[in-house]
Amino acid sequence: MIPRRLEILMVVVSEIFLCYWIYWYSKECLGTVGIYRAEMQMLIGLIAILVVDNIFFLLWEKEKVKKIWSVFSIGLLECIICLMIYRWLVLNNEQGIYHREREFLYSVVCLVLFLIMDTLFSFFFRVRKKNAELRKKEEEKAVLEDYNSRLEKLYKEIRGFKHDYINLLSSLYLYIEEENYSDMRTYFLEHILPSGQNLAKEDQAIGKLSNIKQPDIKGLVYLKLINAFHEHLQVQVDLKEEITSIFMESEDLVRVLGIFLDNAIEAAKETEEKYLYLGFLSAEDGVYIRIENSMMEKSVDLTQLCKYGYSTKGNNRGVGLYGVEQILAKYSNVLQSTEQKGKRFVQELKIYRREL
Amino acid sequence: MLPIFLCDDVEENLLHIRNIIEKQIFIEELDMKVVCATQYPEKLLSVIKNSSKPALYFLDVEMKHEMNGFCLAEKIREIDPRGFVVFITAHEEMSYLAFRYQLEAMDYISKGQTQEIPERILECLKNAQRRLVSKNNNVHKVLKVSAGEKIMLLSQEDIYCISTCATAHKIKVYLRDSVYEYFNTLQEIQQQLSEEFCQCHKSCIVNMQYVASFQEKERKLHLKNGQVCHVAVRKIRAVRERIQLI
Repeated sequence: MIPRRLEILMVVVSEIFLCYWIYWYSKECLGTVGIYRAEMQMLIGLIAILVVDNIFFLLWEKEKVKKIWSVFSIGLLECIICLMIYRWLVLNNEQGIYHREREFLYSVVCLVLFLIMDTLFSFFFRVRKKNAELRKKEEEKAVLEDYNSRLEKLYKEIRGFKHDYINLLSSLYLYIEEENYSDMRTYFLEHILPSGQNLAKEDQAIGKLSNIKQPDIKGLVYLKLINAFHEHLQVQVDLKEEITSIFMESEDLVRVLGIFLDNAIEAAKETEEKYLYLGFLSAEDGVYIRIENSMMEKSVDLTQLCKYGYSTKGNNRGVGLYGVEQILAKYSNVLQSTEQKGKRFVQELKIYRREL
Repeated sequence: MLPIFLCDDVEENLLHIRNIIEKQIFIEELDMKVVCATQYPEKLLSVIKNSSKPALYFLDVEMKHEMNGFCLAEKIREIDPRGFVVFITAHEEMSYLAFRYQLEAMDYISKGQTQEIPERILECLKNAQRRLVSKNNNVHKVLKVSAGEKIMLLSQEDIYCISTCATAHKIKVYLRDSVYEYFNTLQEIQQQLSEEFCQCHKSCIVNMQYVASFQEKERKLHLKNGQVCHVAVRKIRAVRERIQLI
């Protein structure tokens, strides 16, 4: 492999040669055009460099076409600045006379200027991109660390439960020793059976998450469910089919679901019922997601819900659902519905297969 | 008279619900009657096959028959598409089943909160009567909206307001305490709407039935569910005239 720097150097040198060649070739062609001939020559040369530059950029970065246009437009801006400087150089003498012999010198100056500007710009872009990537990686790392700590917590809990369980069972032994079967029966029904059921319920709920095939969405739902269990919510997960593809950018869906689930958990933990329902349904025309929670009787004003700053929890809150609105506005294949039925609050998302 | 049908596979439940319903009909002097209360879905189907009137159905969801409440409801809808179905179920089941079966515009009664059952039943009865009466006056109208490939039918009387979304070709329909989105434009649905509706802004159509107050200076319409709609300058007169009519 050729080192990256050498590659760039080669490109720059070849660009200069190309530009030089085009410059002189176009001189022949434009010989009769008149006073703007020199500028035309410059422009053609610069655009040639720009095009070559962009082609190489495409080959290297394999970025989307959209980005290419932004690079190209910045290149055009550079061209115009160079041309203006060129004109200023050419005409900047006392007599206002056009110096034919200096034309070449000026155009070389402008070319060098152009290349410097181009390098600076691309350098600037690369740095910015790198920063954005770094930030994203850091965020991912933070989520992963969070996830790890939750797993550790869960592990500790399970260990604690195991310990409890052994204690429970050994106390059962006392009843057996005494042959006190009626007390043993009540003890078993009251203490041992429910504790096992609880754990099994949580395990079951989490086990169902394996049907979500997108790791980031699964991770998020997992985190939120653990949260819900910590708040002692009655969690019901309905996830029968495999969810293989969801027709939304997964980072957007993660944000939306995160906000919905946070709201649902926060509302449900205030209630006596502490009910949380999470459903994923893979239908023929798309994926439906439903989040339902118990809530206090005090009704929520649905029409205000998505306005910036609206919150049932006091000031400086209420940014979440506004964010959801902003995200979902991008999608013409997603329908949201919000329901309030008695003491239940429902958010439903229907993400359709194709744009309708 | 509105016929009422009951189906529950547990006899005590059946009797209990029947008692509550008959008591409520008696107290409120409603023009209704429990025609049939049965433990068997097949029997209910055979009875309604001979009746032409739209009816009110109270169905248990989990039954120890091949046919559960939802399947029964689907069959009932084939025979009596204008009827009202109310499900009696445990709360936990309801969210799960409603989601799985993608039901719309149906009521349900929770078995869990025993003291609330009479109140909820009365609500259902009144709701059904209100709709039946307006049906006879030919006021009852539906609004066809599309959600994906499905066409949904909404009852126009329940709609408070319809507004556009930030995304093109999406509308928001506000009911008393729910908001739904559909793939339509205001222009598309405008012809379907009854005279109750009035467009007060290019992005908003309001059901005048639910207007609580109109603040002309601020150009705002307050609806009974607390919603506030802006009124366009050139619509002020129309809105004022409509309000005077009510």
